[in-house]
This record gives sequence, structure tokens and C-alpha cells, in this order.
Amino acid sequence: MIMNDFEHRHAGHCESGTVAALLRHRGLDLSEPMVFGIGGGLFFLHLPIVKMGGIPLTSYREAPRAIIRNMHKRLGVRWREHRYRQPQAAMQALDDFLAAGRPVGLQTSAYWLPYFPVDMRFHFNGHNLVVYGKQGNDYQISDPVADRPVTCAADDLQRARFAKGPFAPRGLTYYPEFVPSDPDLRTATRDAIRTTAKRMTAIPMPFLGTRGIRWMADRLERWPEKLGPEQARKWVGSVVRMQEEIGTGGAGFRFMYAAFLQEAAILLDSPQLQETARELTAIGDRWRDFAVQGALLVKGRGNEGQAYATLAGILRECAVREHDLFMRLRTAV
Amino acid sequence: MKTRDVPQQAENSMLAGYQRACYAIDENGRYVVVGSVGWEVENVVNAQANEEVRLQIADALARARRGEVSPLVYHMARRQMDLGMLASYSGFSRLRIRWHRRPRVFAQLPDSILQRYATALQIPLAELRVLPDHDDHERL
Repeated sequence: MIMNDFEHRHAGHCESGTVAALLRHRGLDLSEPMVFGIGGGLFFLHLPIVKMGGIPLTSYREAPRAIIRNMHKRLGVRWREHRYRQPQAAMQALDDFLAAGRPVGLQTSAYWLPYFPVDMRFHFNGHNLVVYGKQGNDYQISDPVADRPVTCAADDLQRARFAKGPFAPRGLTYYPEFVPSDPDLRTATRDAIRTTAKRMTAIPMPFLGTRGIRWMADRLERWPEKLGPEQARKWVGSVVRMQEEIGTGGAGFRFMYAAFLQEAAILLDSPQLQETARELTAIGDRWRDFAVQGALLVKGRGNEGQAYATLAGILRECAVREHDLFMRLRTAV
Repeated sequence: MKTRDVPQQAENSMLAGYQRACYAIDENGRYVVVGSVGWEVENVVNAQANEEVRLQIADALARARRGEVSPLVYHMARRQMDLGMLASYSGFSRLRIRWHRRPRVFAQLPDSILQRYATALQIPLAELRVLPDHDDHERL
């Protein structure tokens, strides 16, 4: 039996939650929004050519592992990462880390974790969690998106770590080898805000950043005639899932980023950041309206003909307001 | 979103007793994490995705019963696996799996090959060969 002390904290998103938990355990206590913000987690993209199960990819955040990489770049956290060919070797290495008193982050599939609610078990390989102990055959897990610590049998965890398909985790295990005790949070925060603001507004591609939101609005309006009503409803449902159901802290990470801007405002003593936090919260509320309207459409309630125009209208409003906001943020810090 | 506006709709919640962390503003205007026991909007889009899976299972079961495809196709659907995914889990090529979707070919496969499918799909070997008696559209 290996018992390590580990403080479980409920998080909105698996990657920012896992990183925040691992850093906190090593003495750097940052909130999840700070990790998400400094990690440059926020983004938007809509890629009709990349299809998952026949549905275009929509993402409200940066690519997986961006937050981990940016913790190195902006705060000087040095990560150790291991991947394994042999599942047995990976499980043995995990036991060794735990025996040495070191909780580690794992990349896993969501499908093979038995503690996941059945309705949420899809083949998604980009899940992150912390393993901090082992009791008999069961691993003790701090899964940041669960509200309490959970356990998972060794067989199941092994399967989840060696899931196949897109983004196969290949047993990925990571932990911070070096954590600075007093990093320059102000510089890191400024750099992070500027970079995110630039990426949201200045990439000359129609499907990325605020342009992407606008572009999705234009396309979404034509989905019913292009795809037929049934398929169009599926595509709308998938956008809403990416925004809310997969675990974003609400409004496709917009509320979490607003929480980050609030902390940044205090850190940098900037009333302007306080103001942008309020504005992003208001934009997030509009994203929630989008989700509500989208769900009504999926349920087959309301006027079908008008529904797509309404949804596109909300998206365009979000696009314009986010564009303004991030343009201001480019020069605010 | 204000803390009092965080959805708390426990009925039929897909979260099955867990809570979802939501960021919301408290009465002082500061962001805090509030646990949500469920939200109708999430349930609707989640149910839509799950319904899609069930339809695929029902379709695969019907086709396998009519003898158009082998039971393998039904078991793949239950695991939400397509050709590409089963290929990477089993190590068989897509072409070979396509071949094994034929009922007659599948019926003659040796245990050694079936066992690899059983392992890939995480179901007992005996279950792999047969279809359920009742209408089982639930995923694994």
C-alpha cells in the first residue's frame, strides 16, 4: 500500500486541472484559471476538413499539451515525460514513482475508465489525471474534473493508458522535475495575454480565432440546406458538446479565462483588465445562450427555420465582441 | 454567469452523481468554482450523441441477424469502434477485418484469431461468436 498525501481540487478542465495539481503539490500554488491563462489555453478553431466521426472539428482551446509546454516556456517549470512500449513496464514505472512519493500525471483514454459516467464514455484519448497512491490492486486517482478522488483497478488503468487510435497516449507519464519557488508571474502573465490575444485576432486563416467563430456562423446557417435537418442538428449538437459537455468550466473556457483576467488584473494592478474580465463574462453568457438555443434545436423544439439564423446571430455577436476584446488586450499589458 | 445561475438540474443528469466544476461570479463579483449537479442543455446534446451510438448498434445487430454481416460488426458497434480503431487495437489490417465481416468467413476463423478480437474488444471469446437473444442496443 502506497499512501501519498495529495490535495484534490475540483477543476473545470482536465489538462489545466492536472497541471495545477502537480505544481501545487510541488509548492507552486496557482489557481486553475492562472494555469489555464499562463498556459495560453484559450483559442477557437473550426475545421470542416478535419472530421471526427463525420463531424467537423470545433475546439474552444489550444491543442492538447499546450498548457504543459507553456508552463515550461513562461514559468521555467522543467517537465519529465516518459512514454512506454510495454504496458507492464509502464505500470511498473508508475508503481516506482508512487513508491518514491511522487504523484504523476497520466494521459489516458476516457472510454476505459470505469469510474467515468457511462454516458460520458467515448473514445477520447486526450484525458489527463493524477495518480497519487495505490491500495492493493487499486490506484488512487485525483481526476481534476471529478468532484472527489476516485480509484481505478490496475487492469482498467493500463487499458486506458494504452488506448489506441488518434492521439494514442502510449503510456505518457509526466511530472515537474523542477518547479521555481518564486517565478516571475507578472512577466509570464503579460506574455501569455499578449500571445493569446494575438492568436485570437491576427492569424490570417478563416477558420482560426475570432475569424473562425464568424466563419462557423456563416457555415452553420447553411447546414440545414447542405446536410438536411437531421445531420444539421447533429453538427449543432457537437459544437455545443465541445463548448460545454467535455468539461470547459462553462461557455467554452470563456468563464475560466475571465477568472484568469480577474487574477491578472490584481497581479498587474490594471483596472482595464478588470473591465475586460467583466466583458468576457458577458460574452460567455452569450455563448451559454448559444448552447441553450442549440439544445432547443436538437430537441426539435422551436421554429427550425428561424433557429439557425438565431444561432448564427449569437455566434457573430460573440465573434465581434471577442475580436474587440482581444484587440484591446494586445495593447493593454 | 452568477453563482445562483449555475444549473442544478439533477434529474436524468448524465453526470451520474458527480458534479461539474463551473466558473461563476459570486456576490462580490469574484470568480469561484461552483459544482453543478447537472444541466439540461448538456443532457440533451449528450443524449443525442449516445442515441447515435445506439442506432449504430441496433443497425449492426439487425444486419448481423439477417446474415448480411458477421457478429463481429455488432460487437464493434457496441464498443464504438470503427475499422481503423479495431485495426489499431487488434493489429489486423483493415482489409483483413473487412474480410472477417463476412458471416461465412467469420464462422470458420480459428480461436487464435478470434482471441485477438476478443482481447481487442475486451469481451469473452464465447460472447464474440454469438448475437444476443434479446434486443440489446446498449453499448459496453
